[in-house]
Amino acid sequence: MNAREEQLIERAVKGDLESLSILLKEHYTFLFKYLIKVTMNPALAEDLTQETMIRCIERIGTYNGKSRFSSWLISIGTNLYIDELRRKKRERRLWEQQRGLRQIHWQAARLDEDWPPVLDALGQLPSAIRVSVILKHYYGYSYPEIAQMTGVPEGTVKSRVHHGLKRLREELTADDTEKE
Amino acid sequence: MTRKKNDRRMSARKATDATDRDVEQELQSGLEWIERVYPIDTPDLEWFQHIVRVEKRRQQRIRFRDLGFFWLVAFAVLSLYLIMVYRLPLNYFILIQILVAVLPILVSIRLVRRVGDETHGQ
Repeated sequence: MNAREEQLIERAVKGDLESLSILLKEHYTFLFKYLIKVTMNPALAEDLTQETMIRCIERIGTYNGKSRFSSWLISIGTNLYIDELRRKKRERRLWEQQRGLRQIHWQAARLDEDWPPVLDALGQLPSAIRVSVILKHYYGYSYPEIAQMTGVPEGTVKSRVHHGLKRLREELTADDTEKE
Repeated sequence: MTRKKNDRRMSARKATDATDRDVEQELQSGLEWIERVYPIDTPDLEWFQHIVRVEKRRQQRIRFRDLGFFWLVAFAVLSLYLIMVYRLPLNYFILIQILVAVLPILVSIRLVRRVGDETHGQ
């Protein structure tokens, strides 16, 4: 965290609306990108990003600076996503997930880009496992940090990451065998 | 015999580690690919300022409403307590209840007017 961001956070916590607006603007893309990867659904990611921003405005006074501001936003966004999943029925969740993947597929086809098979495998993982795998192996957070963000014990995070990687490995190996 | 077994186990483990690293790498490049394919337009600062202002105002309204409700209930309970303890005539109680009923109407009329003024001001 640089000195400028620290200053912005300090002012925002004290109630300065201008600093809060700047902070939100600077973290918007980061948060949106994170939520696209986790949800694999651009429309849902956009809704969740805006919802996270609103929660952040509500709770900025409670931010204690123990974790990075971006990590704090990630934990709010992740919890909103988990709440969203709990509210929806399994069939609807799967349907939306597939619709999201189709949307990304379509975007890739439009840009004439090759679809990475790992994304299909990632899309098949249960959401809680996907979140932990992405936070660990893409963003490089430590197990205690992920545990804090997702509100589950460290052991659960380790097991999710382990199982997630194992399933990805199996899926990718199966893909390779099919190709051969 | 045991040594051979250990060697086999070690080489199997090395192979798994190597595959894990491959999977991690594939995962990294796959997720970077999403970022590349899906560009994000960040709204301008005015949009964020507007959202922050609107949300803060909404929170203030909710806080004001909750506080008002709390005071009204507290007032009703306290008046009932005073009437019972000091055995005040029933007229006092009726007067206080009328006040409790009229006060929120007055406050909400004021609030509606203020919100109307703010909306027109924008």
